[in-house]
Amino acid sequence: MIIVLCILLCSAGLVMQALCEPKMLRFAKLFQYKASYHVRIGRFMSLCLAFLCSLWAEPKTAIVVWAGSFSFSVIIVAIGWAVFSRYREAFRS
Amino acid sequence: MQDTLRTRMGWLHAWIGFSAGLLLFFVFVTGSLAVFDTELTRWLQPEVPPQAAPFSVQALDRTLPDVQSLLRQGEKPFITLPSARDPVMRVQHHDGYEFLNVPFNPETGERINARATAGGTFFYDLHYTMRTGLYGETLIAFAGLALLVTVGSGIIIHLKGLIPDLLLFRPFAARLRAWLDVHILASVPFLPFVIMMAYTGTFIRARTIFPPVSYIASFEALFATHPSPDVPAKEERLEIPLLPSLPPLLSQSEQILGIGQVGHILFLSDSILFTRTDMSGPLLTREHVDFSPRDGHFLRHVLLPTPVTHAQQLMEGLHFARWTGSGLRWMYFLSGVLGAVMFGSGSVIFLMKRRRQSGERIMFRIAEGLTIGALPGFLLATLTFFWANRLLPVSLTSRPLAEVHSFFVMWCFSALVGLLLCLWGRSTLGWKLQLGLLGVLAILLTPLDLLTRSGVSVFHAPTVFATTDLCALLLGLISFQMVRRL
Repeated sequence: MIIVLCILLCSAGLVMQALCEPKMLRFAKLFQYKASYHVRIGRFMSLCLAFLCSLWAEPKTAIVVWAGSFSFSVIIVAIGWAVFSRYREAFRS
Repeated sequence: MQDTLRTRMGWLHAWIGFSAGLLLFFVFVTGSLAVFDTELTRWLQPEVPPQAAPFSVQALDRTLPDVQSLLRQGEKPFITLPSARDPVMRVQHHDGYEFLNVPFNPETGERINARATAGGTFFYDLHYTMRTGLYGETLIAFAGLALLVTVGSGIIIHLKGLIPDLLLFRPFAARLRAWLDVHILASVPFLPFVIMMAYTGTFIRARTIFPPVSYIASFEALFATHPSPDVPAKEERLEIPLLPSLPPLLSQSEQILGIGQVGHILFLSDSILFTRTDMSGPLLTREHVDFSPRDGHFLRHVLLPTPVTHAQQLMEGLHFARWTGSGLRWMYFLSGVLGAVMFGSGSVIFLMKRRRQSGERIMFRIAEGLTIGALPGFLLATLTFFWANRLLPVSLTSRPLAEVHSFFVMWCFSALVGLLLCLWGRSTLGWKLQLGLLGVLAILLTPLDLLTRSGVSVFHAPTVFATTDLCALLLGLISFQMVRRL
């Protein structure tokens, strides 16, 4: 259960990270978007919160669970962003 | 200066990565499968029911005739107690490669008539020895070092894009770009896992890299002729005493180790070891309470508490992941699979980049043939092992060995076909043929499971059977998609 929660929090943080990254915005054809202050802070806060959750659930395995959750979240967000970009490309054309 | 370093690291990354990568793909796949070795053994013995009655300590004594029989044969048998991963009790012994087992009902102690199989521990043995003992171990340990070099050089190459490109995945871009994205996506997020596994794995087998005797002495010993020892048959020299009743000893052990903390009971000629379960925590302590095999009196309690042994236990605990719950176990499995994807995609990129310039050279063709044998060929052999387990007659003598032979025959055959097709200039046909066959075998594994397992329904519960079938189905679909895109 804690792994699912960590993956959700990390995914949220990574989506915010993508919204702050010019290369990712260009890839998704989001030329006009500018990340707000909350998004810029939120990307770090989500990752910290995920770590605190894993620490609270089981201190012995916190680092392993957090690192694993982060890795899987990267895969999920990267695939999701690729699908989103493809959708936007098709929608624009 | 930085460009020069990047270029040099690029060369190192490509060549070390490709030459060790084919072996490391195999190491990552077998390692991922070995994470679920117990569950795979359950799939490979469909006669054992997915659920079992609660464990009764009285059932232990009914396994003693089998234990004594194995002791008489000179083996070192052990009983694994039921756990969350495996609901039945098993009498096991190591045959030099795998742990062969006989399952028992945990409530009544009756023997369950299940097929003999090499089981999931076949992949465990392959993972670190390649079935060649110390020499395989040494090779794998050096491959671990090569992994660290490849990862280090890869980080230097990709340093600038490490954060900006972390989430960048363009599957619909040009083919080389898409493969590069797959390679980076399977590598960068899993760097902590890969470095941890490479480091702990190499640390555990450090003895093979820094042996207590010199390499020269080892080679001399290998080629030296040994006089055949004049020893009597094992049965003649072994006198096995009548073993004591186990429930009181288990109770006594649990007073020391804790209730439910005994994982297995190992029988040696001079002692019976009640060992702490590997699931007790990240430290693989293997703490044990010993009793005499003659009258069952307490001998000793063994626990190595020094900082050095703690470091060793932590490394083993982290690498073997036997203490983890199912969630973390899946994480290990998927991280291992992505490690294999990293090396698979890296090998494909290596070949793609050199095809235009060197595609006609004999060495390139051999390299591509070997890649076909090592990537789809190895996966094909793995699926053949599962098919052989279900199709070989249950009454076959040396059945576990027949399963292993099926695996190696298929692997050799696919490597040979891949190599010949590449030498003939038909490499695309080689890839398509093997990936297509892989897809067919993987997708048909579910019907095979349903047809060869008694008491099964199409809507079977989400057990190890369903999960294994679904993983195979996914592998099959990915294979077909790759055939389509080739």
